[in-house]
Amino acid sequence: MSFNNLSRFFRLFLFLSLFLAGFGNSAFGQRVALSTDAVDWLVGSANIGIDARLSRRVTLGVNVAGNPFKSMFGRSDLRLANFRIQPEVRYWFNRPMARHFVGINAMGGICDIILKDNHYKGDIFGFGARYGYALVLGRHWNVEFSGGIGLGVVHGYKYKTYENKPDRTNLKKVIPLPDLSVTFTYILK
Amino acid sequence: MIKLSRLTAFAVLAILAAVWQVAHARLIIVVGMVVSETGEPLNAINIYDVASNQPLGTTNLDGKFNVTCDEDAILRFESKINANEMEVEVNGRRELNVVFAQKSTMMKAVDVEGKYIPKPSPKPTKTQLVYRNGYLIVSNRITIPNKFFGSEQRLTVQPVLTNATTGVVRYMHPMLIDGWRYSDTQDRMLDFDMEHDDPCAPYVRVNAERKSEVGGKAFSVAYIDSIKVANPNDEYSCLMVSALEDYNRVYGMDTTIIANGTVNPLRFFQYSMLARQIEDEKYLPSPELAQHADEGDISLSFELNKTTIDMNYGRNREVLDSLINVLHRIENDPVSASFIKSFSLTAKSSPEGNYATNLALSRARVKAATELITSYLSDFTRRNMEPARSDAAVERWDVLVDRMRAGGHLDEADKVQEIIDRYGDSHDLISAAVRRLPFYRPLITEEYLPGMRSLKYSIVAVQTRALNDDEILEKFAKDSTSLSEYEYFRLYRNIYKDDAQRERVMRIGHKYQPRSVVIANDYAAYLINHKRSDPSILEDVLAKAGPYTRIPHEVRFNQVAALLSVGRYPEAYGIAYRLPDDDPIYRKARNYASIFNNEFTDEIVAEECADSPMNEVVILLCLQEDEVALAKSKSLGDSADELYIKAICCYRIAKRDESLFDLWDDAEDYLYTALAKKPELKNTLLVDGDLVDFYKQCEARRKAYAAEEQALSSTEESDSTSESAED
Repeated sequence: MSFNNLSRFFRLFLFLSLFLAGFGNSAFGQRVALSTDAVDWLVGSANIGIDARLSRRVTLGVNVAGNPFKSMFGRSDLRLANFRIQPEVRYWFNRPMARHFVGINAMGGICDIILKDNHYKGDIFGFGARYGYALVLGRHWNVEFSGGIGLGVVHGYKYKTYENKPDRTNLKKVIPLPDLSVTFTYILK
Repeated sequence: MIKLSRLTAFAVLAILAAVWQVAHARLIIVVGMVVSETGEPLNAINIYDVASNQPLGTTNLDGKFNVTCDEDAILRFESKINANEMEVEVNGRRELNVVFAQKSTMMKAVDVEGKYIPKPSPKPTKTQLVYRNGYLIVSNRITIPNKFFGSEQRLTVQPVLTNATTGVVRYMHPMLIDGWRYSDTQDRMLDFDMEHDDPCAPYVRVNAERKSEVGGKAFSVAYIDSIKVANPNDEYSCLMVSALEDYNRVYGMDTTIIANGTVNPLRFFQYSMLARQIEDEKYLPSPELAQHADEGDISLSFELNKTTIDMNYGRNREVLDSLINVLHRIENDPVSASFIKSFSLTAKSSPEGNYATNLALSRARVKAATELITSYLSDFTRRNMEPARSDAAVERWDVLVDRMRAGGHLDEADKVQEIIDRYGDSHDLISAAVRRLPFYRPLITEEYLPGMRSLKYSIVAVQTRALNDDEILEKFAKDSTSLSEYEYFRLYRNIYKDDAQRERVMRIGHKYQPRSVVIANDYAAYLINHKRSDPSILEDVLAKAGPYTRIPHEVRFNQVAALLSVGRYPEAYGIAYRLPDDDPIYRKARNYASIFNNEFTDEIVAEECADSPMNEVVILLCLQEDEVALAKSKSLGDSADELYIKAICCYRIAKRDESLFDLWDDAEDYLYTALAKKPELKNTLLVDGDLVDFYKQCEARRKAYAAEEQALSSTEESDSTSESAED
């Protein structure tokens, strides 16, 4: 992203490193699964996640997603560029990575969104909860259907597309973060 | 707005904190042992995880368990038998030993959670426990009905062998049928290392039918396992326990009886093996050699300073004659074969005079005497004797002092002592000083010095004289535990004729001469022939024999007979094959050992069948040739055992088909006639897998008839009385 957002970027980086420093060794030393969300891909965000099992019922995962496109579907009045990191801890009701689960997650990200003629540029930090069902397709493959809702704070600049970016941040808003996903997971090893 | 971002920050931190907490509750493997309050290991204690209520494992026969659970889990130990339970926190411990207090056996009402095991439930087929080569074999099929089993479930099937005679319950290998999803998620949970991490892994079969919900067609799986049993004549029965579970809970358990009694037609195999005593001279004990030692004093006189013996000087001739007589007597003893092993003279000379000359003189004299005496011995003795070791020594002056003190001459003794103290070790100076003493002659020279000279002879002779029979009896009566092998042997072989006494001798002889092969063998033979075999007697003999020890064949033969009669067939087989082929009796022993180990080669079968038609039918039953057995059994006789065998033959064919009425009737007739003729057969019947169920059926039917008849006859009576009343 552009230079102006570096400080926010740095905050994001801190957020992630604090998180990984605490759990990186213990969690990700064990068995690990990789996942990717099909719905997200449809909306233009490449994404990949890593999950690790902490105990018989709990997994911890981090999802990293980013949409690099300056305009979506060729339309110049739609831009959903963002880069986000989403750690999530899930509680599985049966076996890990099988059947029903609930999770709570936090999100940190930077965004650059153009909707019609409004340009929003800043970062989002939030948290949310999600519920899903994982269907076991085989020894290594799962497909998870889940939906979640969350709350986030957007912090940044809001200006019209034909205006210049203001000097000081003028956007601070709480927004809901709904999420629907169909995730394909591959369990490693 | 500020509040909300603070809220966000808190939420994020809260998530991190929660995750931190959870992150450390990892899975660990806990091993340990459950014992009762008295220290006895407890079997079959179920272990559950309290938080998830999921079964984790069970303790094995040694009370040991091995479960995978969270570090901070709480484990619940539950006894199936008396519904007793106990909770223990793991607290991160990898090893956990639990003392499980057993309460009194009060059954508690148990609530079964969750769904019940759906009906129809899996059906294990009824089967028979077949006894073969020391193992009991369980083999049957379990049919899983339609729409019973789902992909996320596991069915556990395990046979339980109960020995009613000893009360021991043993669990055989389980069979676990997993739905494919269950198996995959299990694999994932164990880090794809199921063979190492899951103790049940060797027993798992995966049902690969890919239906996601409970459904799928019926299928059947075959189960076969064998378990080693010590005594085939105990009363065995086998149950099969089946349980259905999914990820979180056990739906229910079912128990079915699948077999009663053991099928072992060889029970009725007729054979006789007469145990044998050892006759080969090589191994029989012989009377023992005993050593005697003889000692005595002689006195030979020598002329002053001379070393040769003059036969005519003093009493030399007499003394020598008598000594030589003693020696000759030993040499020529007609009764016992004895010979002189060694002869020696020991001389001590008195202390007066020069020590060195004294000693030399003494030595020379002793040597001369020895030579003279040995010249009178026979060549044979001289050749075989140990070299004569004769010696001489000079007495010390201290000894004189002691003797004078003992003799009462205390002042003189003190004077001599003064001299000794003054001159210390120099013998000659003391001699000179003592000679100058006023009382030297005659007190010392006459009274004491002569007594300090001595000449001793020592003869060691070896006599082989066996005790004769009376002496042996006397020795046995005095102390029965100290006889030699030969003496015990003579007692029970030749002297005693009465069986009870002979047994006593053999028993004592075996106990106090444990290394004697002959006594052990004869004792074992006696016991075998009197139907009280004890394989442990000859077991030691055979075990201690090295590769170069020759064991007589009788020992092996007797041990085979003992082991066969006790039921230890595989061991008998091993020993029987070291018997030689030439003797027909040994051949028979090998045949019997083979048959009892289910080795039915054509030759062996031909030999045994030719001998006895009963054995032929028994062997056919073992080979499961039921039709041929039935045909041959028609030619058997009328004794109780033969009728019983006929009943088995009929029943084996009859039970395949309900409509073979004749055979059913025949079987029942033969069985009941046999029982009537020989009531002890009932004990065999109750452990016999072939007929025990049939017998129970017949009994039940007979009782039902009897009850009906009673009801009928009572109504008839009332009818007839009412009729007569009408008249």
